[in-house]
Amino acid sequence: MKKVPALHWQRTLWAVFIGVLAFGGLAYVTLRDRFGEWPLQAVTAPLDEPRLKEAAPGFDSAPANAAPIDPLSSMESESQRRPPDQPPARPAKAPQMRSPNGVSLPLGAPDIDAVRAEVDSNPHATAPSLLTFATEVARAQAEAEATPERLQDFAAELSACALEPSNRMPPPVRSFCVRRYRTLAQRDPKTFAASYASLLSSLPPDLAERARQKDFP
Amino acid sequence: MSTCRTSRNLPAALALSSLALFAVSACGGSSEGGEERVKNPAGTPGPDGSEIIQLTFTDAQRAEVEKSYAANVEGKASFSFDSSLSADERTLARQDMSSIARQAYTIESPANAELVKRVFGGADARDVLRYLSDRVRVFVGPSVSVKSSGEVGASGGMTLSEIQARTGMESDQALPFSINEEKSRVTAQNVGTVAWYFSYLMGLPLVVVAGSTYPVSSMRAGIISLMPGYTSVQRIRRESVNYDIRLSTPATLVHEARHSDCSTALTAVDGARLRATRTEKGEYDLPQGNTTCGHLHVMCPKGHPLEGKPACDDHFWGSYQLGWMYSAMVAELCTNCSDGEIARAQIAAEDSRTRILDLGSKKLTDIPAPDMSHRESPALSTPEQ
Repeated sequence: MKKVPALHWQRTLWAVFIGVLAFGGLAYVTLRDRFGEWPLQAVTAPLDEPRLKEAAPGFDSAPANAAPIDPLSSMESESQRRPPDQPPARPAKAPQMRSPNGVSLPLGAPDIDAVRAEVDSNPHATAPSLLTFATEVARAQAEAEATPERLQDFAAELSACALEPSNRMPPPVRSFCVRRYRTLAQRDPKTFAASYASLLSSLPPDLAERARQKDFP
Repeated sequence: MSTCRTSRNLPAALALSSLALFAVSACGGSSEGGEERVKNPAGTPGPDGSEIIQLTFTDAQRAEVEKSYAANVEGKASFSFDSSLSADERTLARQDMSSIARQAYTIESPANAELVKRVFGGADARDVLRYLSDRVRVFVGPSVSVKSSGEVGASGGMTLSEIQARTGMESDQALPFSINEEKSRVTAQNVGTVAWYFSYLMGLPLVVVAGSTYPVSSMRAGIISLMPGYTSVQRIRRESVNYDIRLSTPATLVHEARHSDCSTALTAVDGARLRATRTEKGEYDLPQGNTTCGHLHVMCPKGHPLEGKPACDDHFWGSYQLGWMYSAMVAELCTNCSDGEIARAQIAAEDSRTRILDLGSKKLTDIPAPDMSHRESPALSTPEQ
């Protein structure tokens, strides 16, 4: 009767058990640190159903020299659409709008001075460069979502936009970029939920608080 | 609070920086970075090779818009379109109304539904349309003038010579509202509200003259001038695709409509305070104290990203907050809006909320619902000296 193997088996079990416990504890601490900023709602409830169900949705932009028939439908004219056999273009970037001192902002975001000059001309409305930027980002996002390998790059650009330290970035732009990142996380939580949580934890407190808000909770 | 005054071609004008009407000519010429983008009118290339052009509709598109307008707006709300509008301006305004009317919102929270109902009178797109039609009676083109009703033959008005005698104006300076180069990017202006302020302070019955003549006996005259920025689009040229991006949104109309509301009637004290700002040139400096009558804007304070621009509200539920709310509805509640519309609404909402002073981190639902009623201000008992 050899009892040694049984003892060895028992010890092995204990070792495995302790190992699992240690790994679990480590994983818990790591995840807690990473997801600590994640809103409770996102953990306990499914994320909102993404609104964008098509790869290339309509945009509130008009076809060249022609107004959209209906902003709720696609805005590109037939002549401008890609032929079906043509590969999708690179994700579009907003037009690069450099500030007077040559600073180039992430995603081609407009410089605060450009926005201020537009507000001079038209104080009532959202500055045209902001609307152009938002339209271009949405377009770029749709294109990136159609090409998963490019989506990570696009997400990185959104993150850079949100975290842009320069005071040349108009505040609405940073907030907008966070919201677009949130859209990514809603549509593909497996890929982007963790990085969105990480982004939130890296933002200045006021911006992070705004990012967690819904205007209609 | 305003420091912008008009003097070049609006000698008797109110210095309405708060309403952006005259601030453009008074303050718009300051040179700041990026101005070349702003000042270049339609057809001029931008720094990235794109260009800003005026939107035009084909006949087929126009017919589609008319069809949509008839189906979605007519019978639910009533808007007039003055003959001074170009065909494209008229079509785009009708398209905006149709778009607003077709939006579908899903509002699950009772608190949200209550807020939307308090502001727009109901939680349906048709209610937004009704909010607009209560405050926007007529769309006019960019070139309008304001005159004494007597001058254009209406009974009870003053003659031009009487106006001149009272105001010291010269004969060719009869309260002109004129578009100039700097205004080429303005999208829309509530000229009815500004004209009403003229009328109130000068003690004159006035009319706005465009293709037709519109009296401004109330701030609810609802005369909205569509400016070149309304129909501007930025043409983007790429290797594989060209497309145009519109440089205005329907939210502008929601914003302008709020200027038709006088939430707190002007008192004799308010009137005297405003009149006291009148200069020798006949300018007034608004606002002074009561900003909720017409929801006048104030200068953004030091430290604000738009510091020194007449682009902030010093009270809740002014025009910027209405714009914010409508944009947030599109961004968060609309179930049939395109992602492009949602993105534009997201940035418009963020932009609008940054212009509300002392907002802090408040959400829309943190701010008590507004009183959306309109109050007429009693006429000032004494004529202006």
